[in-house]
Formats: sequence, structure tokens, C-alpha cells
Amino acid sequence: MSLQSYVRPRGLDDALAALADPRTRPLIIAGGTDVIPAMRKMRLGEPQAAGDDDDRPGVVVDLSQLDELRGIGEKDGMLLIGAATTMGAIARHELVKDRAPALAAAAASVGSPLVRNRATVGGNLATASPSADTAPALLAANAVLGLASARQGRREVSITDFFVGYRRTLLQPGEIVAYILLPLSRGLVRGRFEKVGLRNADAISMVCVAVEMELDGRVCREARIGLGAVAAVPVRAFAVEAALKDREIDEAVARECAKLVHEHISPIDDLRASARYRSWVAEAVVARMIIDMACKARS
Amino acid sequence: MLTSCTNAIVLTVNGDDHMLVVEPNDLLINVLRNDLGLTGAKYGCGTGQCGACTVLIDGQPTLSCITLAVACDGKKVTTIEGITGPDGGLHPIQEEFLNENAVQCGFCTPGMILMAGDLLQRNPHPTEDEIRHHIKGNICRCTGYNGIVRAIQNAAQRMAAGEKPLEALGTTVREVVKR
Ligand SMILES: Cc1cc2nc3c(=O)[nH]c(=O)nc-3n(C[C@H](O)[C@H](O)[C@H](O)COP(=O)(O)OP(=O)(O)OC[C@H]3O[C@@H](n4cnc5c(N)ncnc54)[C@H](O)[C@@H]3O)c2cc1C
Ligand code: FES
Ligand code: FES
Repeated sequence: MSLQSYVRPRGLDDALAALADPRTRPLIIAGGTDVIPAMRKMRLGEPQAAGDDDDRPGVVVDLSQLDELRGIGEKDGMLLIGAATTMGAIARHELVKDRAPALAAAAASVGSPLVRNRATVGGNLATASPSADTAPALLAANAVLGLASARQGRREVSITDFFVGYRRTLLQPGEIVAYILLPLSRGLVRGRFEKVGLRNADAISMVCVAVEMELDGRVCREARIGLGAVAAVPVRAFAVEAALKDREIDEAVARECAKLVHEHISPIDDLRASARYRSWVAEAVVARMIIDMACKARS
Repeated sequence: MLTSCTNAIVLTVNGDDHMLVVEPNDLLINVLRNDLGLTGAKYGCGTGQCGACTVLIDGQPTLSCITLAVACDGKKVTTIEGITGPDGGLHPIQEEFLNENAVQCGFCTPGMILMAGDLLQRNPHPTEDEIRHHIKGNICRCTGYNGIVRAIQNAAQRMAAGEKPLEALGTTVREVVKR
């Protein structure tokens, strides 16, 4: 028997203690929407194959019911979101919808209502799928992630440093994402998220894009653009952002700047789309979002 | 330190308390179907994509195929077997599914009805679009969506006119020992 136990820690310190010893092969579970389908492939009930190191999880540590990791609030002018907060709660929350609309839209686009009832934002980030939908929104928002472990204590890292390779993050063994901090959008900053999938419901992104722009009339003071499903990790389109800075936006400018997105993406062919199609869609969606945000829906 | 291989849990299912001993990797759907004999929730894809296994946990629609039974210790689970109308017969939503022929093979129906109840509880006057959005994670392989949407619309009207929404059931204690 590989999986020996399940623990539902009572507090954060308890949780970190349960994760501290690598010999117990701990596995974090939050909503379980990624973990359980993955566990099915691990054949947990079967004996270890002779001569094999058993790297299957030994203990499941459930973070989903830890109050310290759940909830949405304001702290020092920042929006604070617990890592175990569900996508449904994020998508519905007035403060998020008002101040971080790209994140609200990204959370609302995940799976189905049933998936959103369980899926957490921390799990979405820790899975580090290239197509994790909240990642581009948090990149565009310049979010800070609060991490915690028994060994290293607390630290805060920028979301831009978090994804280090295909499905790899800078989380150390025993370390968890505890919370997410977003600068609360001020004044003229607008945010938007768009996802292109193969169908309307329950679709994994073929391309997803989040844009935050600070606009002064049609002049872009600052832009941040996050993209998903177009590289091994979710990426920022820094070149596009730099090209937009202090430019008066019209359709031609937006299309010209959007071309620079190719400096940051390296899509692959897979069952959902070809690399060429993804490149084309990424550029087109970035251009369209910039045009819509700067030139349309002006109040 | 962490040595226990099984976990004793208490699940309140459709109002009855069940004491169960489960493995840490037992899925809620299997415990409901195999140990408690509640076969209303269906095992479809097993990966969260079809909604056939939908149950309510503390009132919230949940995919029981990707939920560990141990994680539900102390919680209230409602399956389709626990849904009844005011007189113990069919609930208005169930009646409307019959009236609209919204059931063919019935595999998706328990999930659809629970999702409909969840929606109408929070939003008594949903638009067609809101209904379709709410059942996005519930696949009907017999393409009965139009009938399903009509059934939910009819039920919404009846319930708005005073018939009762899904509500918590009373609790009695019964013990079930597993294995
Ligand atoms: C039907 C279906 C549709 C889906 N659709 C989408 C979609 O449209 N877009 C999308 O982005 N994703 C989608 N997903 C994937 C999944 O739902 C999300 O990635 C979700 O946010 C994962 O969160 P979780 O809480 O369920 O994570 P879990 O499955 O509990 O955990 C995921 C991983 O993160 C680790 N982990 C969890 N929490 C933490 C933490 N706080 N700190 C450190 N590590 C942690 C776990 O150990 C595990 O490795 C879908 C999944 C399903 C089943
Ligand atoms: S069986 Fe659970 S979603 Fe398909
Ligand atoms: S009635 Fe057969 S799946 Fe919906």
C-alpha cells in the first residue's frame, strides 16, 4: 500500500509540519481537480514493483479546509487572496471584479461551475500548467506570491519569477503557496482577460491573454501583458509592453506592437492547436484587446 | 509518525449519519455507490469532465469522482436519492424533467437536477443563458439539452410561484460498518 494516510491539518503550522519530512512523500491536495486525476495514474492500491523506488505519495495533506489559506480581503492597499480560495469565490467576489477584473474573468473561465466550486488559485499556480488560466491574469497584475514552509519560513516572490520551466516552479520541497497579493488597480488602470478554447465550456486554453493598461486618454502610460498556453510557462510580453509605453494607441499602433509578442512565445503543436495557429491567435488577440481597451468603451 | 492506513469518518448522507472506515484514497463516488448502495450518482468519466457524479456537499454541487471520501468527514452529503418534493414524492424539478421528456438514458439526470436546484436556490429567475452556463459541466450524451433547459425554466416558474426549493433534510442516526 503506497498511500498511507490523509491529514487535514488544523492550522498552517500543522500543515507545514506535515509537509516537512520528505521521507513521508507528502502530496499537497487543495481542490483535487488536478491531483485526483493524476493520482489515478499512480496505481495507489498496487504494491511497489520489485526493484523500483516508490515515488508515489505516502501522505496526502489537505489544504482545502484551512481557514488561514482561504478568503479575499484588502491589506495595505493590496488585494489579498488566500491560496486555497476557490475559483468560484474569486470570480464572484465584488472587490476582485471591481479591482482585478482580469483575474475575476480568468477564474470564471476555469472549467465548469462544478470545477470552480473546488479548484483553487494556489493549485492552479502550483500545477504550473502552461495553460493555467489565472497565471496570465496574475502576471498582468504584477502579483506577489506569499510562500511558506517549515524549513525556510515565509518569503514573498514575484509571479514573474515563479514559473521556472515546464510544469516547474520555484517552490521548494515542503513549501506551499499561502497567499497572493495584487496591487489594487488605481484610477485609470484597466484589466481584461480573454481565452480562446475549442469550445465554450470546460475547455483548456489554446491561448489565453490578460492585459492591464494604465491609460491617459488614448495614451498608454503603462501596460502589462500575460499569456498562457503559448510557451513552456505562462509568460509576460515585455517587448509589447515597452513598445506601447507612452504611445497614443490607434489600431495601427496596436497591431504593430502586438507583432512583438513573438519574441516571448514558443508555442507547440498539440491536440488542441498547431503552433502556427497559436502564434497567429496570440498576436491577433493581443492586438484586439489593446484596441478594445484603448479605443472603445471610453467613458 | 503518520501510520494509520484507514480513516474512520462520519458522513451525513441524505439526513442519515453513517460511520465509515475508508482508505485514504477512496473516492466519495465509490463509497456512496458501493458501500452505501446509493447508485443515483453515476460514474462517468472519473476525471471531472462530465458531471454525472454530481452530489451536494454542505449544499454545494461537487464532483464526487474527484473528491476523497476522507475529506468529507463531518460533512452533509446530498445525493439525488435525498431530493423529494414537499409531500415526499417528486420534487417540482423532477416532475418537470418528466413532463419535458428531459430524460433519455438518465445517466446525466441526477447531476442535472442537483445543478438545477443549486441554480434556482441562488437565482430563482434565471435567464436561458444563465441556465445553460450553470449546466456547462454536465454532459448529456443523449443531447437532451433543450428539454433539460425547458424543464428548469418550468420548475423555476413553479417554484417562484411558491413551491419549495431543495432544502436540508432532517437527520437521523444510523450506523453502517464497512469491511
Ligand atoms: C474538468 C476540468 C476542467 C478544467 N479546466 C481548467 C481550465 O479551464 N483552466 C485551468 O487553468 N485549469 C483547468 N483545470 C485544472 C484545475 O482545475 C486547475 O488547475 C485548478 O486550479 C487546480 O486547483 P486545485 O485546488 O484543484 O489543485 P489540486 O489538484 O489540489 O493541486 C494541484 C497541484 O498543486 C499543488 N498544490 C495545491 N495547492 C497548493 C498550494 N497552496 N501550495 C503549493 N502547492 C499546492 C498540489 O500538490 C498539486 O500538485 C480543469 C480541471 C478539470 C478536472
Ligand atoms: S464521473 Fe465525475 S465528472 Fe465524470
Ligand atoms: S439522458 Fe442520457 S446522458 Fe442525458
